[in-house]
Amino acid sequence: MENSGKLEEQLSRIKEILSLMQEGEEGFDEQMKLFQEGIHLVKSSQEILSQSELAVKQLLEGELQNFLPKEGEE
Amino acid sequence: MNNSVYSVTEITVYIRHLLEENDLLQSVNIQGEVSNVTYHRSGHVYFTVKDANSQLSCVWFKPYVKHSIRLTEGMEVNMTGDITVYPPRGAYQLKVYDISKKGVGSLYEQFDKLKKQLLAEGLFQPEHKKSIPGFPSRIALITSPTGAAVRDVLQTCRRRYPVVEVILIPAVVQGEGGRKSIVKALRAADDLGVDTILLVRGGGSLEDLWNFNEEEVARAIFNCETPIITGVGHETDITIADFVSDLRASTPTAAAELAVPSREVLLGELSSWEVQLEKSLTYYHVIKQQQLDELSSRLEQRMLGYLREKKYELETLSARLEAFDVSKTLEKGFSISTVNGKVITQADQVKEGDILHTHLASGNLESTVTKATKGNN
Repeated sequence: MENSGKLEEQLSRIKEILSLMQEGEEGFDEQMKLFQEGIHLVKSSQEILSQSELAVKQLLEGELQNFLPKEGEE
Repeated sequence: MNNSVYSVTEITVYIRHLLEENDLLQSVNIQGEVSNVTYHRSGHVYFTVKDANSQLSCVWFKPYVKHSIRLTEGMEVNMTGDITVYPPRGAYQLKVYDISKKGVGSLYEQFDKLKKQLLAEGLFQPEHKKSIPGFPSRIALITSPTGAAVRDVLQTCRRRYPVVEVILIPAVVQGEGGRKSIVKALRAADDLGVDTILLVRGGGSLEDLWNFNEEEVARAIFNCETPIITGVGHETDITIADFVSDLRASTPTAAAELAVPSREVLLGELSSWEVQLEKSLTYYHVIKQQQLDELSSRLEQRMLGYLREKKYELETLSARLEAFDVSKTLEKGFSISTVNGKVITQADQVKEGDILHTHLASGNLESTVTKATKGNN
């Protein structure tokens, strides 16, 4: 899903923000902005992780269809 | 001589014991031509093998029967089994454990041969192993749509990382047609442009898993551009597919675990980052406060220094002013004259007729200039 790529991007941006903030070379406004962006990304990532539901599709005759699981033997 | 009398059963039991305790007749390899095959409803298979001069009754019990080979009249086979006695008919027979077409070699031999060949070709080399994406968006799952494996993988993905999308590509993973089906599924998965392919199957016998030891499947895996994780059988089963794939998992569940990150771990990491963000901001404030304190105390020092400096300057100036005090000079008889308020030090500052004001130590004079003689300097 879109979300996974987004999640990966967000996680790496949070790491970047952390190191920028730790260098402490930014001005006050910039620090506040980084902090707010970081917290926002943390919340958004937590939301993606907690609220996603597994999407399953099935490739049949070259077409993607919804997958309905059946019980059965190997 | 021996005068004892034995029953038929007693002598049969003895003969059976003789045969079954003889190491040469156990796990013995025999080859011959198949005849009189009966696939019985019970699942057992009865047949005879023969050569030019002799024949041997054989029984192949259901648990050992494999479906990858169908015995037919005249088929030349290699067999492994134990010689035993069937008391009801007083006949000896071969209890078959493994059977293969002559010339094909046993499955183990085929496995070893292909493994050596592909190893020599470099298909198992680590430099061909692609790295598995840490945060896949889409995963292709190749397996039987009705097996336990598909359930295990989907459950694991749902539990660990529901952010991912799973695309199931149904494939026959056992018996006839499996090889072609798996190869086709691999190509389809590669064309989908997914991040990772999972090729999995639950446990089974060597025969059941045989499709994963086929050369065609191995090459299809090798040629995939998408990273592949295999999870075939149980812990101990290793197939050729596992050697070629980019990552081998011991089971379908383990394959899914290797394919996706853990939500719990990520959530834990996120909380720790949240704390770190707050710490960073607090730290920034502390640092800035310290800098501010430092600056304000420097400013204060600077101000004090300035005031001290000015005070000293003032004292110096007033001392110098005092030195200019002329009253003492006037006391000695010198005087200061001015014209129009200007102190006169040179004769050319005045002209005849100017009114000259002269200040004495005590009192003033007023006089008129009658003559001004210019000096030399």
